[in-house]
Amino acid sequence: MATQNELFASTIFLKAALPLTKVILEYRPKMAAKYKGLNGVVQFIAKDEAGDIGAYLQFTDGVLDVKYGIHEKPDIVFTFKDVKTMNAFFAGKPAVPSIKGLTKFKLLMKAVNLLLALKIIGRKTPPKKAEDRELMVRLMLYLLPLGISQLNKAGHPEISKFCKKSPDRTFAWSVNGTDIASYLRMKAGNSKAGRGKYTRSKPFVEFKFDSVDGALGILLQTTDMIEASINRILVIEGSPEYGKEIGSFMNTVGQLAS
Amino acid sequence: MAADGLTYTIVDTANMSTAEIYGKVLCDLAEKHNDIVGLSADLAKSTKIGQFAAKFPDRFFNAGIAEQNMFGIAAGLAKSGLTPFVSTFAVFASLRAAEQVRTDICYPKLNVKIIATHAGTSFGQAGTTHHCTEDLAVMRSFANMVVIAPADGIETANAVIAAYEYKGPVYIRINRGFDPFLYEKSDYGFQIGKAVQLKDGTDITIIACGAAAYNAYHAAGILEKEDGLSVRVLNMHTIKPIDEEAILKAVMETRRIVTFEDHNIYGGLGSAVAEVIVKSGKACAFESVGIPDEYAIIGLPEDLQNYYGFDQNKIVEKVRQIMGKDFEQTEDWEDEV
Repeated sequence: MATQNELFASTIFLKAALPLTKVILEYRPKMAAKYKGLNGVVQFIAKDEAGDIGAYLQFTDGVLDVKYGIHEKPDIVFTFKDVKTMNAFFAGKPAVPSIKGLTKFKLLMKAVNLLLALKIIGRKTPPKKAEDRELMVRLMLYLLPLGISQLNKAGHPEISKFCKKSPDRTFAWSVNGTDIASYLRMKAGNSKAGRGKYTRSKPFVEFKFDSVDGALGILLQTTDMIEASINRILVIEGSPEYGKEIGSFMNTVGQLAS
Repeated sequence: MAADGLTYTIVDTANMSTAEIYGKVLCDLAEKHNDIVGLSADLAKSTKIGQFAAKFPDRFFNAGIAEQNMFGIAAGLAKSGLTPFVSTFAVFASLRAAEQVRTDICYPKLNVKIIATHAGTSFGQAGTTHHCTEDLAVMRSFANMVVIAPADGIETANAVIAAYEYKGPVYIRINRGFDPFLYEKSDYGFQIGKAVQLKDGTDITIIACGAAAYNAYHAAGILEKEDGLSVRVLNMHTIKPIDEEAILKAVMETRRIVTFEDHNIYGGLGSAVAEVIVKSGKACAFESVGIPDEYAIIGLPEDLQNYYGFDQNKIVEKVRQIMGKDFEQTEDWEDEV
C-alpha cells in the first residue's frame, strides 16, 4: 500500500502538474493546432491496495480536459504497478507502465508529446529560448499554489493545520512585465488556487519577481535568496513570518514533485 | 509642517521604525530648541528616546522603573519653563501613571509631551499586560489634553513637531516596530485637530487612526475598483480635539460612517466620532470597529489586526457587509486546474 508521502506526491502529479498540460496547449498555439479535431481518453492508473488512483486526459474535438479519477471507457491506459512507480514516471525517472490501446497510435503520440512538454517544469537549468523560459516560469507559478491547495485538500498535516487557522487571506505570485500571476486563497480550512491577479482583496503576502529570468534563478535555486532580496530580484510584500511559511510549503511541493 | 528644515520623506524613514523616527525628530528639534528635555523610566532604548539621551546626556533624565515619579518630575521641569518629552510604553503612561498625568500635568495645563510607544496591539506577542487598548479613552477624558494617534512614521514626525509648537499637554501614541508608509512626504498639511481626507467618496466614510488608517486607505482602493463603491477615507490622527467639521460633512454627504482603530471600542476614536454624530441630531448609519469589550488576545500584530477586524481585508469585508455586498459572489473552493 502506498505511503502517505507517496500519496501526497501523486496528488501533486495528478491534481496539480497534469492539469498544466492545458496551459501548455494554451500558450503553444502551434502545438495546439496539431491536436485539432482529436478525440479520445488517455488514462493513468496506479494500482494500490486501498483502491486504484488515477487521472485522465480527455480530448474532445481537440479540446483538452484533465480529470482526476478513473474513466469508464478510456482509449489508452497507462497502468503502474504502484503509486511509487507512477510518481517516478511523472518525475521523469525510469519507470515503465503497461500500456493498453497501443493501436490508437495517433492519440498515444499526442499524449506522450504533451507529457514530454510537461517535463519542462522538472528542468534543473533554464531553457535557452525566451519563450520556453517564460512558459517554464508560468507553469511553475501555477503549480505552486495549486500544489499547496491540493495538499491542503488531501490533508497534508502542516499545510492543513496552517490553512485551518487562516482567516480569509490571499497569497500571490507575480512576475514583473508579464501577465504571469497566480494566487492562493485560504479561509478557515478552505483553499483555492487560481491564475492571474486576485483583485477582490489585497494579497496578505505577495512574491514579486522582477523578471522571468529572475524568477527562474529563485525557482531553480541558482540564485541566493539574500542576494535576490538585496538586488530586488524577489520582493516579498507582506508579513515576513507568513512569507517564510508559504516559502516552506513551496519547497514541500517542489520536493514531492521531484 | 511649520518648523523650518524639519521635513521627512519616505526615503529618510524607509529603514526606521516609527519610534526611531520619533527619536530622530526629537534630536533634530532639540538641536534648535534648548528648552527640550527628555525623560524615560528605564525604557529609553525601547522607546527610542535613547537617541536623544545619547546626543544630549545632560538634558535627559532616567527616572528608573518609577513612572509616577517620572511624570511628577516632568511636571516640575515644565513648571520651570522647560519642555519635557516623556517616553514610556503606552500602557504605563496611561494606566500606571494616570493620576500623575491628570493631576500634575493636565490640571495645571503644563507643557509636557508624552510620546507613548507600543500602543494598541502593536506589541502583540508580549501579551495582554503590555497591550494598551485603553489609552485613548483615558487620555481623552483628561481636560486640557491633546490626543494624537499618527498613522505612520512621517505623520509621527509631524505630530512631534506640532506637539512642540503647541503649548500644553500632548499625548502621542505610536506603535512598536515598523508601520507601512501612508505618506510619502511630510508636507500634506498636518494640523492638530484637522482630519486628513485621504480619499473622497460619497457612499460611505471610513474614519480611522493609527495603523488602521493605512489599511483603510488601501481597502478603499479595492472597494472602488472591485465593487464600484465610492469610499471617503478620513485619517483622524487627532482624537482630541476631534475634527467635528469633517465628521459632520461626512454625515451629510455619505450617510454611512464606520470607524476603525487599534483600541477598545469604548472611549476611543469610535466613541469620539459617535459623540459628534449624536450631538448633531443627524441620522447616519454608524459602526465602530476595534477591540471589543475584552482584553486582546496574544499574537503577531498582523494577526491581531485581522482578528479584531481592522486589517485591509477585514475593512473591505466590513464595508461590503454594510453596503450589502458579499466578499465573494460564491463560496466556490474548486481550484482552477
